[in-house]
Amino acid sequence: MKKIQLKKGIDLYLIKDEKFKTYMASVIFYRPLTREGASNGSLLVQTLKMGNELCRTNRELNVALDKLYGAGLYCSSGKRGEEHNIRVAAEAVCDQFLPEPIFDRTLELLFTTAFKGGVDGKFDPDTVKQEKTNLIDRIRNQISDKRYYASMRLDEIMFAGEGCGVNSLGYEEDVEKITAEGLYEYYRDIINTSGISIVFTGNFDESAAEKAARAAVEPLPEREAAHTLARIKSEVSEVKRVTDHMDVTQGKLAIGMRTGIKPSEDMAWAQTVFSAIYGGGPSSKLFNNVRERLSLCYYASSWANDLLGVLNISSGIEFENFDPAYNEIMAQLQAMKNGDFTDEDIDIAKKEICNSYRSRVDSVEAMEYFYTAQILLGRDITIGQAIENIEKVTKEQIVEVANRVKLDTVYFLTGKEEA
Amino acid sequence: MNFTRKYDELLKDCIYEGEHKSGLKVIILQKNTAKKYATFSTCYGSINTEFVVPRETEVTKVIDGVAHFLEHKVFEQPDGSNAFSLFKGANVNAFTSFGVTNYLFSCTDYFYENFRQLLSYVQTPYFTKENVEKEKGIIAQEVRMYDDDPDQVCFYNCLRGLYKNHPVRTEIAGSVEEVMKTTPELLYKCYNTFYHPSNMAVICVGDIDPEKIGDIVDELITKDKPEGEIQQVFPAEPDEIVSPESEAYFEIAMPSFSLGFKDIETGGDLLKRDIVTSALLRVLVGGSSPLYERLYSEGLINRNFGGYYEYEKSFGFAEIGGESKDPKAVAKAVHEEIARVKRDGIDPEAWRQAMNVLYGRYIRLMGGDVENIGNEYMFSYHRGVDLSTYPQVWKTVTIEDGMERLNALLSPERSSLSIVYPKN
Repeated sequence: MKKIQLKKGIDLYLIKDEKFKTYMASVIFYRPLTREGASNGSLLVQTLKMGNELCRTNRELNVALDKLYGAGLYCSSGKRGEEHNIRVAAEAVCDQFLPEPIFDRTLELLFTTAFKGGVDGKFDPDTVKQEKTNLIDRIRNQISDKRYYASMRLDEIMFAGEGCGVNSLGYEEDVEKITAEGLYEYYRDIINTSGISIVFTGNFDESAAEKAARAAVEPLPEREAAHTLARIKSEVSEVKRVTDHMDVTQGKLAIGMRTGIKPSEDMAWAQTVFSAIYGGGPSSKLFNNVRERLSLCYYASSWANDLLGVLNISSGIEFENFDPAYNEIMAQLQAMKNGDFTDEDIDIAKKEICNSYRSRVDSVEAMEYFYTAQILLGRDITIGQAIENIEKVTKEQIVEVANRVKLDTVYFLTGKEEA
Repeated sequence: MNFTRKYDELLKDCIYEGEHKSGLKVIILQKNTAKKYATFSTCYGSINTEFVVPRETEVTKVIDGVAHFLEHKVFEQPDGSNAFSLFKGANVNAFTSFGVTNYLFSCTDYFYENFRQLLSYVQTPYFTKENVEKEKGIIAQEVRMYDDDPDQVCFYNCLRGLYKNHPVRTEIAGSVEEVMKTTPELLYKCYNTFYHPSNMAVICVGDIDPEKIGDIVDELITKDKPEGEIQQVFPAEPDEIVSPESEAYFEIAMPSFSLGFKDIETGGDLLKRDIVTSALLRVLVGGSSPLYERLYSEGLINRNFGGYYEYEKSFGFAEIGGESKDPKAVAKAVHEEIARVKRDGIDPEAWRQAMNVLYGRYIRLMGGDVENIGNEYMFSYHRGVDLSTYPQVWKTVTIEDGMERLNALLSPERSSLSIVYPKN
C-alpha cells in the first residue's frame, strides 16, 4: 500500500494489483460518530445518489453508470467502532477489457458525486423530503430481518450511552427534523472539515489515479484530521437480560460479552483465534454442541469485534429451548476458560483464519476493507504480517482471553403467546 | 483422464474440460488468484421429486425436501464424524437449489488434499435411523428461520400463484411436517439414483493444475458409466396460472411484493433466453428506465426495486419485486409500461445500454471471486449451458429478440402478484 498525502488531512492510498480485471476507487470521509451525524449521514448518502453537477437527476446518474458498462456507484454511511465513515465508491472494469476506455469518466463521476453533490449549490427540498421518507421507512423496516433485528437490539441495550451504541442508520425523530438547507450545510461541513481517505484498490494506472485525485481535492481546504478509536470497556456492573415478544415462529438469541481487549494489544490476535474455536465455523464448539450434538438450532456462532473488545453470539431456536441453548453456550464458554480444547482445535482455527486472510487478496473490496481497518488502527501491517501474528498465538493466550470474557447482555426475541 | 484446453482471448484465461470414464464432467478454469475453489455437484435439486430410476420402469415419487435433507446428511461420515473436520484451512459448505445440490470448498493452501476429501466424503453416504432423526431438529430450525423471512414467503407465494403442479412451487427445504417423515431408506434411494458420477460435475476455479485434478479423479472415482439413464419426470403444468394475487401478513414496517411472470417457453437455447430476458427487464424496470424514475419520484418504490429472470430446463419465470406502500399501484404501473412498450417498441438507446451493462457484468463476474465464477459455471453446466460462450451469444442478441421475449413472457394473464403486508 502506497500512501500519498495530498493535503493536510487528505490522504491517497494506492493498493495496486495487476491481476484484477476491475478496480475500486473510494472516497471515505471520517469523523467521530454522533447520534445526529448518523441520521444526517444516512440521509446524505441517499441524497448524493439523486443528482450532482454532472448528472442532475437520479436517472441521469443511472444512465451514466449504464454507459460505463454497469459500473457500480456505492454511497454508504456506517460505523467502525466509534468512527463514522461516509463512503462514496465506484467499481468498474479495467479499460483493456472493454471496447472503449472509461477510466477517466468513471473517476469524474465518482469525484463529482463525492464532492459536488446537489444541483446548483443546494439539495432540492422535494428530493430531500422524499429521501427522508425513504430513510424513515428503512429505519422502521429494520424489524423485517429478525436475526439482524435481534443483533441491533443487543447493541442498543449493551452499548446504551456509549458512542458505538449509536445506530448508524439514524433515528426517525432526528431525520424528521432535517431540512434540505441543514443537510447541505452538514455536507459542506463533511467536505471541509472531515478527514478524507481516497483509496484505490485493484488494477489501475497509479499516476492517472493520483492526478485525478489531486485535481478533485484541489479546491478543498486543509484540515486537522484524526481517526477515532472506540473506548473499550472491560467492566460489567450488572448483566442485562431483555426479552422482546413478537409474532415470529423462531426465537432469536443474541448474547453480548466483553473481553476488554484493545485492538492494539497482542491479545487481539488471540481473541480472533479464541472466537474461531468457540463459535467460528463448523469445527467450533458451538456448532458441534448446540447444533450437532443437541440438535437445538440451524446456526449458533460467535463473532469477535476487535474494535470494541466484544464477543457476540447468535442462534435461532425454538422458544422453549432458551434454557438448554443458553446453558450449553455458557458451558462451552466454561470449557474454553478451563482450557478444554486441543492443539488440533487451535491448529484448525488458525488455518481457517489464515485462509480467510489470504483469500482477501482476490477481492478489491476485501482488500480495501482490510487496509482501511489498518489505517483506522494506525498500524501499517500487511495481510502476511496479520497471518504471522495469528500463527504466534499460544494456548495460554487463548485461555487468558476466555477468562477475560464477561457476560454483559442476554437478549431474546420470542413469540407472542408467552406474553 | 484427458482434458481439452481452450484459451479465452477476452479474459486471457485457460479452460480445461474433460469427461471421466464414469461420465463425470470435469471443468477447470485457470485463474491467477490466491483462493482456489472446487465444487462437486449433482444435477439434482428440490424440483426432482419424481423420477425413473435407471433400469426401472415405474416412476418413483418422493416427498418434498429430500434433496436438501441429503445435502445435510452427506456430511455425516461412517465413523460418526462430520465431513467438515476432514478439511484443512478451508471454507467448506454445500447448498441445494431448485436444480442442483452443490458440495464445495475454497482455500489458499492444501487444495489438492482438500479436493481428495471432497471427492471422498460426497461418495461415502452413511444414513442411519439415529443420525437421520438427529438432523430433523436442525433442519426444522432452518425451515422455521425461512418461515420468519417475509421475502422468502413473498417469493414462494408468488411461485404458488404461478405454478399449479411444478415442484418449483415448493420451498427447497420442504415443510417441517415433511422433513419429519424423512427416512434413511428414502435418502439412500435418492442418493443412489442421483449421486452417480455421470449425473455430476467437478468444477474448479483458480491457480490449479488440471493434471493433478485428473489424477485424483482417476484414483477416487471408481464407478463406470451406468447402464440406463435417470429420467427426470415433471407433472404436466398448464400454461395458465393458479391465482393472480396472494397476501400474507408479517411483523414488518413496509409491504413487500413479488410480481411473477410464468414463462411457457422452456428448454431450447437457455443462455440466449437468459441474456435477452435480463436485458429486457433492465430496459423495463432497471434504475435508468423511465418507469423506475417515475415510480421512485412518486414515492412508490425504493432502491430495492428490480427484476430478474430465473430458470432451469423445466421452468422459467421473471420476477419484478421490491418494497412499496402500495404494491398494487406498482404492479398496475408495470403492466401499463409493458403494454406501452409492446405498442411503441423498445427504445434502441436503452436496449444498447442494457446490453453493455450485461457485458460489463460478465467481465466483472469472470474477473471476480472464484466462488461466484464456479457457481455460475456449475449452474450453467447442469442446465446444458457453456458459460464461456457468453460473449459470442451476447453478440447475436438483437432488439428484435427483446420484442419477441416481451410479447412471449410478459403477459398480464400469466402474472401473479404476491404481497406481504405489515400486521395491523
